[in-house]
Amino acid sequence: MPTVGAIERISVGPLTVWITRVGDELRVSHARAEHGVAPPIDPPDDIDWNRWSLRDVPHHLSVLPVFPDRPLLIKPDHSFTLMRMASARIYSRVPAWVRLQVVETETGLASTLVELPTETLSDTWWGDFVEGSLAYWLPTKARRELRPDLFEPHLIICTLQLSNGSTDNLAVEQLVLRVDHLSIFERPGELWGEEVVVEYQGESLGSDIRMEDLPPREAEGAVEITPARAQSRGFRARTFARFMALGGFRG
Amino acid sequence: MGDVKIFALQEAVPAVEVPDVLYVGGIPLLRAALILVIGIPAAWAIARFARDYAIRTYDAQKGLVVHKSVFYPAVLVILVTVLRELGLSLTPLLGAAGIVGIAVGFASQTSVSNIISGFFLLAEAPFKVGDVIKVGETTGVVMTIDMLSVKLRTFDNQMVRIPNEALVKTEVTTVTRFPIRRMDIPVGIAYKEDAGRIREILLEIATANPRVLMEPEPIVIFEGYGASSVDFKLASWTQTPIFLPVRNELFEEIKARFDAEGIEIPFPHRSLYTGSDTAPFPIRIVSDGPVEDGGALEP
Repeated sequence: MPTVGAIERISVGPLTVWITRVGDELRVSHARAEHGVAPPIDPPDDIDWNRWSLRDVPHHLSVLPVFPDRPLLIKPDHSFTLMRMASARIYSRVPAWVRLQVVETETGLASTLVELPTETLSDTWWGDFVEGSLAYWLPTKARRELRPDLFEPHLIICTLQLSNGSTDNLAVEQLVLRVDHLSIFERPGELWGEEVVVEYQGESLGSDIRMEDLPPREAEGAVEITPARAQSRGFRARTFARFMALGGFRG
Repeated sequence: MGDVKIFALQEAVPAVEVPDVLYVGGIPLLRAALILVIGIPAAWAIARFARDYAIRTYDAQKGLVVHKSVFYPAVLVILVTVLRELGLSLTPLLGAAGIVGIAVGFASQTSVSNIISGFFLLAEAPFKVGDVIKVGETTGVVMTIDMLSVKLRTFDNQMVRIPNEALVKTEVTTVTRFPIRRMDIPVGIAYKEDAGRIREILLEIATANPRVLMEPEPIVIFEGYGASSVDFKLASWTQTPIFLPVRNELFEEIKARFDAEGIEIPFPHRSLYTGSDTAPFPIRIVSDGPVEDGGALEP
């Protein structure tokens, strides 16, 4: 917890967060890098501050990475076809959000102040023109290979093990990743989401989705630092979409 | 066993004497008043309970229907009971109603039509309370769907009453029916501009706005060669509740970007030819002073 009048600065990828205390008030502000230019060291004079008035008990601040608060629409860097009974492993990089919490030192009671995206993600729609749900569009593509240059401090590596248990070939063009069911694990300098197993059962049946409750084998030794927003071990849902599924201009 | 005296029931239960104040001319006035005073609020409370349950289980529209379906029949029953308590026989009334009914029937064709149209609207449910609908020139939020009419609140806070019959007969647009809407932004550019570059810029603007949906993806549609400009339409999607602010943002962002890039948005203009595209129009410069003699040009 910053001392009164002092400004603490936290940088996570393109996100910079400033935290200060004025009297019994805790103030938080933030900015992101634009066009590759990082925010200044000190907060600009005209920046807006979010303010909270705290109870008069000892507190400390907790800063945790969390997944975004909506599902993510992912596209592989190259679309491919998953033949029936075949499987494939893909890796996706999800920009973390930063959760700021105030924790009462004596009781351990934690209150979330704010969750800030390290990168601003665009809205997108998962569904059809009549019904669906709001999701985020992931600008980074999902890859079949995991290379060392793909790691960045604010990006969470999510591993999906896809398998086609149907009698049809599956065109993998875009898919939805429901990150609210995933925990985050940490290995020095790396953030990992728990492994997700997706078994496609066919166009009408959707996919069986299972969370392994463990980091993927590529992240051996990683420890859990953030539990999932929604606890679930598995469910069935529509996961894959084809470009033509959303009618309109493309039929 | 000793003698057991068995009292007759009418001796064991003393007769209750009703005070004279409860009767006026032999009519149980107080009882009638009690039925009215207790019955109406009770009917209201029951109808409200039923309405709240329907709202929780279904939606606000069904809650309104349930409320009216419970309250009005209950009031009718209470009124009939009160009339009977007051000694008023309904038989003559029903007899007269036959004759009156014919007269009322002719006079109330429109009302009956509205009521029946109301049932059709409820069954078909093209819109519900809270939806924004457009009927002819009127756009507003549906406040209530009643027996005879639908009440709208316009965005400038006026109430518009639309008879149900009119709604059944007319085209009604439910603006908020679906969760996403497409924003169509017309863009006209000067003929001298690079159409391909314009298309790229418009798509960059749309995809850079985080509230514009990436799926369905934004597209640029060529509309035609206009009289003064080459016309395009930027078609992009957003969530229905934030349709207006996002559309406004795109208009502003397009203008700002076009200004920054030096792209001309032409105002309507006409090119005139004298019959030869090389010969100029003859023009005489008139002085800046006031025009005299009805505006005749100086020789």
